[in-house]
Parts: sequence; C-alpha cells; structure tokens
Amino acid sequence: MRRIVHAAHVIVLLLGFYVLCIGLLAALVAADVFVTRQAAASAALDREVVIAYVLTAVVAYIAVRGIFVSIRVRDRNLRGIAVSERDEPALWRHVEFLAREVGTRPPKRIYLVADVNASVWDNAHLLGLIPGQRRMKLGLPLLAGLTPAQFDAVVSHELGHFGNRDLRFGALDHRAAANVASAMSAARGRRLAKAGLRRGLWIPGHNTVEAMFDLYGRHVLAVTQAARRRQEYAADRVAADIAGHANAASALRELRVIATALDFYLDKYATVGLDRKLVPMPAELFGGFAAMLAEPERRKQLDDVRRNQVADPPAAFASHPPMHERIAAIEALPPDGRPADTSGARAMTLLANPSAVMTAVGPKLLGSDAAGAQAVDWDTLVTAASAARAARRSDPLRLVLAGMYGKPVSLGGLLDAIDAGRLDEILEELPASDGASAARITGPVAREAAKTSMTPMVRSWALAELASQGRVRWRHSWADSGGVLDIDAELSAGLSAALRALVALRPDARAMRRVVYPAGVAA
Amino acid sequence: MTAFDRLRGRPGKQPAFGIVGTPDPVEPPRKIEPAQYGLPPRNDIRTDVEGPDPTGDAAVAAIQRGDWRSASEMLAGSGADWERRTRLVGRVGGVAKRDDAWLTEWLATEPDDSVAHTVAANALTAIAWAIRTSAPSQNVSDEQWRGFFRVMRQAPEHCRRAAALAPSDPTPWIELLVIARGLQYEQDQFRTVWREVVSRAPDHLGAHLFARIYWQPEWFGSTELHDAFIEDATRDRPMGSLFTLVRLCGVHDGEPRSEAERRAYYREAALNLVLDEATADLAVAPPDHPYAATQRQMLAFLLTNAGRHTEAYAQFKAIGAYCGSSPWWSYADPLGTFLSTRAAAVMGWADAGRPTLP
Repeated sequence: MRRIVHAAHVIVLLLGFYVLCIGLLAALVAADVFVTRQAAASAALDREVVIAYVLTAVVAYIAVRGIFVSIRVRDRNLRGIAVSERDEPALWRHVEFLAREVGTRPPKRIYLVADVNASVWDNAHLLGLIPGQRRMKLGLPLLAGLTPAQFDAVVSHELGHFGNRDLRFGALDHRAAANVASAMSAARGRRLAKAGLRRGLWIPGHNTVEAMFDLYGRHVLAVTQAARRRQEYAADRVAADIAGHANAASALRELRVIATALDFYLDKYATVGLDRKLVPMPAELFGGFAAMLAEPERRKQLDDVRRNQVADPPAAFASHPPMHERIAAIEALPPDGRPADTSGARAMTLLANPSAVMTAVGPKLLGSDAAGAQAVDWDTLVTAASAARAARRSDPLRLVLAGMYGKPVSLGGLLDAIDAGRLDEILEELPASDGASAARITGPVAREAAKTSMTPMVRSWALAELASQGRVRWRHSWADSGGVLDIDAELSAGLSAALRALVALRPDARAMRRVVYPAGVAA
Repeated sequence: MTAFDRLRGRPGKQPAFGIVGTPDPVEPPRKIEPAQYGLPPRNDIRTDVEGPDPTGDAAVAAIQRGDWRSASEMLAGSGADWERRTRLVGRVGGVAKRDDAWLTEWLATEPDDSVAHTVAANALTAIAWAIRTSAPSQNVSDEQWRGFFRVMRQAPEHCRRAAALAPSDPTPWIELLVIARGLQYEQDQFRTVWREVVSRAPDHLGAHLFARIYWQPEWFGSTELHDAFIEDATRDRPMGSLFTLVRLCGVHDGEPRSEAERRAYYREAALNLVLDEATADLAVAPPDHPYAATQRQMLAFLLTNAGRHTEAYAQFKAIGAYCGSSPWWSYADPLGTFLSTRAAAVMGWADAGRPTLP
C-alpha cells in the first residue's frame, strides 16, 4: 500500500512538472494580454509591452525545453556502435540467457561503447511514464578488464533493474529522477553554455525560472532517492545470485580499477601525441588498452590500486549508493560457496570479432579532439612525445640562452657560448636548485652545483636535437609510458663523454659539437 | 621569592621577556679565563690548521694572490718528503672551494705537471664534499648527491695523470684513497689503490689515517676489517713514528653515543693503555713531526674524556692557538667543542688541586 502511495506521489510530481511549466506560461500570457490592453489605452506603456513579450518568450523557451527533453538516448550520443545478432551472436545469446535468468525481456539493441560503464534503459515517453523499446550498452573497457563471471554480474545488475516485479515502481522512480535531472540541466542551458552562446547573452528572468526548475527538481530527487538506492541494492542482489557473491563483489571493485587504468592509458599513451595531431591506429586504441592491462608491471600497479581503494565522498543526490557500501552489502550475504573466477580470462572472448569492434569503437575514446589527427604506430607516437618532453626539460636552459642572444637558439648556440667562455654567465642565470640556494654556497662550489643541475638539461636538449635528426628514437613500452630510448651504443657513449667534457673543470664543447652536429648537419 | 621557592632553592619567577630562557642559576656554567691558565683566548684560535704550518700558510697566501707558481715551487720543494707534500696538497687544494681560477690556469699552463694534477684531484674532492655538505647521508638531497658524484668522478682521472707523470710519487695514490671512499669503491678496488700507496710509501702515516676511515663499518668495511687494519698499521712501528695516532682515531670514532656508555668506554683499562702508549709515542717523536700537532689534539680530547685532566691540560697548553683537525672537525661546532673540552680539562685539573703538569 505504501508503495502504491509512493508511486502515486512520484506520478503526481511528474505531472506537477507539466503543470508548473504550463501554469507559468499561462500566467505570462495573461499578463501579456493585460499589458497589451493597457498599452492600447496609453501609448506610454510600449516599453512594458516589449519587456512582457520578451519575458514570455524566454519562459516559453525554457519550459518547452524542460517538457520535451527526454531521457531518450539517441544513437549519436553514444560513444560506440550498435552490434546486431549477426555481428556478435555469442554476446547476444549470452545476454538473452542472462535476461532469462533474471526474468525480464532482453534488450532489442546492444551497443558496445567506449565508457567504463554498462546500462540498460527503455526509451521511455512522456517523462518516463510510458516505457519504450529496451536497449543496452556495454562498455568495451569492461569487456577488456572483467572476467566473464564479473561481466555477468554487471549485466545481471543492469537487467535486474527491470527483472524483479517488486521493482516495477522503483523503475518509475529511476525514470522520474533521470527525467527531472535532464530537464534541470536543459533549463540551465548546458548546451548553450557549451557552445559559448550563454556568455554575454543575458536573458532577463532566466535565473528565476531556472531556480524554480531547480527547486522542483531537487524535491523530486529527494523523494525518489531512497527508492532508487533500494533499487540499486536489489539489482546488486540479482547480480550476486546469478554470478556468485564473490564475482559480484569483485566486479564492483574492479570498476574503479578499470576506470583508473583507462584514465592512465588515455593520459599516458593514447593522447600523448594529440598536441601534434598524432593518434594511435584505430585498431590499437582498444588493443593497446588490453595490452597495457596484460603487462606484468602494470598488473602489479593495478593490484596496488585494487588494494588501496578509498571510500567515495558522500554525495547528496548521487544516483547510486557509495561503492564501498554496495560491496559490503554483497559481502554480508550468506556464503553461496561459489568461488571467484580466477581463470584470468576476459569477457572480451564473448566477442566473435573483437578486432572489428575495437577498431570501430576505439576512435570514440578520443572524441572530437582527435579530429583530423594522423594515425601512427606506437613507436612513432612515443618518439614524438618523448622528444617533445626532452625539449621541454631543457626549457630553463633555453630561456637563459634566449636571454643572452636576444632570440631562441639551437643547442649550437649553447656550444658557441661555452666556446666563448660564457658558461659561468649561463650558470649564474640558471635558476638555483632548492638545495643549492638553501646551502648558500658560492664560488666554485656553487658553480659546480649549477653545472650538475644543467647537465640533464643539456642531455635532454641534445636528445631532442638528435631525435629531430632521426638519430635517436624511443621504443614503445607498456611498462614505461615514456618509452625506451633507442640510441646507438656508440652514440650513447659519445654523448655521455661529450656531456662530461662540457661540464668538466675546464669546459670543452668540441666533443658535443662532434656528436650532435657531425659533418653535414647544420647547427 | 616565595618561601616555597626558597625551600626548593630556586629563585622567584623572572618576567618572561626574552625569547630565550635564562640559564639555570643553580648550576652556573663554569667558565675559565684562558689567560689565567696560560691558554690563548677564543678569538686567537685558528680553525684551519692543527698547528703551526708556515710553509702551508705561505703557499695558501701565494695562491690567494693568484701566484700558483710560488705554491708550485713550495710543493716541489717538499721533495720526497711525501708526508709533507700530502699535507701541502691539502692546504693548497682546499683554497679551490672559494676560488679555483688559479688551478685552471695552472693546469692550462703546465698540463704535464704531476703536482698540478694531484692538487686538482684534491680540489675536486674538496668541492664535491662542499656540494654534498657534511650532513648525514639521509639529509643530503638527490641534487647534492648528483653534484657530489659528478665532481668527484672527475678526480680519479687527475690522479691517474699525476701518477703517470711521476711514477714514484705516492701522493696521487693517496688522494685516490680519499676519492675511493667518496666514490664507494669496492673493497678489492680499494685494496688495489692501497697496494699502489704502500709500495711507494709504506711508512706514510697520513695514508694510513685516510685508509682507516674506509674500513670503518659505517663506510665500506666492518668492525673486524677496521680493527685488523689498525693492528696491521701499528705493528712493529718504532716509538716516535706516531702510528699510535691511527689507533687514537679508531678510539675516537668508536665512542658510544649514549652518555652512560661513553663514561664506561673511557674508563676501560685497554683504552687508557692506548692513551699511555700514544703519550709516550708523542714524547719521543721529533717536535717537527708532521702529525705531532694532530696527535696532541687527539690526545687532549681523549685524555679529557678519560678524566685524565692534568695530562689533557698539558696537551692543551702545548697545542696553543690551533684546533683545525680531528677530533674537532667531527662536531657541528669544532671551535666550541675545542673550548668546552679545554675548559673541562682545566677545571678538572684545578679541582684535583692543581697538580704539577707532566
């Protein structure tokens, strides 16, 4: 009975949202009519008429957006591809099997996407009051990082939102919250702000209407909060029943680990060449992620992440309960005797054609930033990134030299200055290291300390120069995102000797000149 | 003063104005008036040398004038007195911490002067240690370590050049002994260097003093290796050779940290026997023995700690206005440690009824 009252409450709130919008509009139209009549009698009110009309138009715009925005997920908003039964028969059969286990209808469409998430939704109509076609999206990073049993837990959780008859009303809460949340953000004009149109365009009355939407939306979220959380726990319970408690709990734990790994991968591997418009090959974008996850060194690091997970900060209206509480709830269930899947297999094996899927979804990882970028192999990518990093490392020294010459110079400029006996001048200009300035050293001691700080900068500068001449490169490594310097043994020895000579008691730039600018290479 | 304070023998509260507290008036720090005891005052004491060193002073003065040629002549003048040459190299090389233009000029002008290369090795060692600072290794920053090693690694090359130019001269090898410790040579590597030293100068006391440090357990040896080294170094040495100094240095470095353990350490009969032997060694050593002053400084310190204040006072009187050597260098405030130790010796002697000095 209480559940029916709650459902009625939610439906009233949703309908109330329409009433709010329409009521606002009606009131404004009435005001418009009144003002227009008055204006007919007295010409002095023309300005007020204009203001009233503008205000009405603004509120109408916001209200209409709020009403008609829906939680329909459009294909173009998905960072992935739809796969048909013919494309991926094993995956479809598996999802259908899980749907039967859960006791709900399977999705009509399955998307494979670039997110560290999975979800099922009905493309609902009328603020979620009328359910529509069921769809499911599965994050490819999950297929790459979860075992088949953990993956079953994730899919069962999603289907579990619909499976349990008791949860039908809960689904209503879920839809209501999702709808109101998207109406709130639509009213705030997120898209306008994104397009940069909001700045400088002040619409009178906008803030007031936005505040009203916000107040109403918060109320809906608060009313549905408890039910939505209950629903998540129930869905976790479904997942635990189907995949086993150990697998359900470890799947939840793994989500954060995969997200951390993917962020790291995007930051340190996939996007390192973006500023030079270089990206990995489409097939390699996900292939690389899977390869990185398989690297022993990275596995150790991810083990650390897994062990040191911190509790989520509390959030007022988060859609899900905190992860550690969900895991604790599953672990508190009576033991089911089903062991965790430690086979080392990955859910990716469900895919009939993983390389085609990875190639198609991979570029979605990078988004619009990668538009127009050139796809290159990993070695080329890491060479470009590491050469740029080497160049940046020598920036303090380049700045000093640029100051001396009045313009940026190549490494040859540094060698010329040393030949001209100006090394001491350079060393004095170089920013002192913390240790050196704290020790207040002077004279030869300070000079030699400064030479020590300068040495790695000169080396980096020389490496950047050698890379631009194509004489060194970096080999890609999943264990070291900076890559492994690929330098000829003789060149390496020559460079080290030249560096030593450059900062010796009696500095000598000749060897460095021979190494970096051999006959025929211009400084 | 309240009656209660009087009962406790403490003065009344002072107005708390100063940023430092007032000293405890119950036990006023005992101070001595040095002049009353025939000792030089604080301001007269030189912290750069352990005793009179006119040649060293002249060489340093010449270097500071930029006159490296005179210093070079003085070094050459030490001839085959390798002990004196080693000490002179140290005085001259130390100047490079403040200014080394003379050294680069010397090396450029006379690239085949073995002494110039030996001095360069010493200078680089001094600069490297100044970059590293004498802080405990865990307080040395990565940048300081890099600087230390980068500079120190340039030194062996100068030793090799010098050794090649003057094959009979042990001083480049002796510099390498010190460098080897900085560069963390393996024991076998170090032994190779040591063999080069003793084949040229088996009786070089300075070399033994440097090498002993390498064998300490805190560095790259062990208690056993360190003690064995001292036994080997001192075996069959004639009285007056001052090789007992090697043992004294070992005694000083072996001091326990805690006050109670320290007291017990200095009461040991074996230790006092070492002090007796070292005192006798010094008594028959020629007064111009290059390590006589260091021996005296070491004895003054150890005798004071052993409570043998009269003998210690006698050594302090003989030392005069110098404190530039071990053991004082091992303390954060060498001069302060010297003065407080000297005061303790004098007061101990006074408390004992001012017996006649030996």
